[in-house]
Amino acid sequence: MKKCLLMMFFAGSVFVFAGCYKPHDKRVSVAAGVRSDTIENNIITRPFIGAYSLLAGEGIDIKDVRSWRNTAGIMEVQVSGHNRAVYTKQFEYRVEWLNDKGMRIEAQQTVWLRVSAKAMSDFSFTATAPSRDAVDFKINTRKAKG
Amino acid sequence: MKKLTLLFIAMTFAVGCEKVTKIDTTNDAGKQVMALDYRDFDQAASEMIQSLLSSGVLARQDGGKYVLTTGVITNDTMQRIDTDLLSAKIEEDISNSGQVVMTSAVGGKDSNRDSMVNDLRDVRDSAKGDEFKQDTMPSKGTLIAPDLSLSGKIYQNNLRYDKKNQQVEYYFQLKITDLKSGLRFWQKEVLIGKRGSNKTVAW
Repeated sequence: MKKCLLMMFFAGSVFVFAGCYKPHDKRVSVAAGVRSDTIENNIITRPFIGAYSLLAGEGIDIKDVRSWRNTAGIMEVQVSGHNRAVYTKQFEYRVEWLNDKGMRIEAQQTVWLRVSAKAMSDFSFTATAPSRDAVDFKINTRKAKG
Repeated sequence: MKKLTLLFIAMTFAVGCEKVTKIDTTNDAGKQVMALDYRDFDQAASEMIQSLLSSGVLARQDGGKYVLTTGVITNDTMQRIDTDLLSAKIEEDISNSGQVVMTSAVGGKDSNRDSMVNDLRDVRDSAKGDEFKQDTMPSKGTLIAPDLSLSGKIYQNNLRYDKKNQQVEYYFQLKITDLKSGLRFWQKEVLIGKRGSNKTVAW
């Protein structure tokens, strides 16, 4: 009987705390603790969701990669994604630019650069090619250290 | 004698075992240091170059190329830094972009200039000038003046973070100025911040 009451209290608490959340414009990401609670993000459920996220190894998803040429005729690329984890995820990326023969263009700017993606939020980064010769690119990522 | 020989052999092996590794500068996953290292210069230069090329200010409307010189980049940090570590990377990439030509005739510091440009003209104007075939000597009025100048500074700010840790902020600030009009065409700041033990020295 006690167990049953405890379960009912737990379930009730989740609905009480999570009851006020209303969906908003997807372009605005409101962080946990700022917005109203959801069932996934509630003072009672948060530790379980956090543990699940960690166990499931949740990370970033790439949602969109688009490229264009700027006014100087140089190629630029924007990578957009979403961090599914419940903690800030830092990673590094390096863009290698390729010419029309598929050869890598040597450039000082081809180095590992860091991105910090906030928990359960969208992120994006942009890169600019070293010259007009660049027609394609490859992007590598790795875990950020230190 | 036998003991001495053994000691000598042991010492030789000990010296031979000192481990020295070459840094994999392409995929370096080494620990961060409080001072500025090559990775910080790589990052700052990369962000500067990309901002500059993305801005479009180097693309001349008439299709020609701007002539660029590097002015003074001040080292306002507690470290002994050669600012060429930053400017050389930027100069290399923006030259290779095909949008600008660097000049070695004038520059903010000796390493930006090639002293032979002036030395050869001094020879031309001296008595030794007659020793050279005249059509191989540079004529007067042949040097091209720069259109743009790259200048800026690297600034360091040390803060106490808590009892045990310090925070060091490095600001890389660069700008491009049109030398005829004095107008600033572009500027960018890159901040690199580090936190670590007070025991670590940031200079």
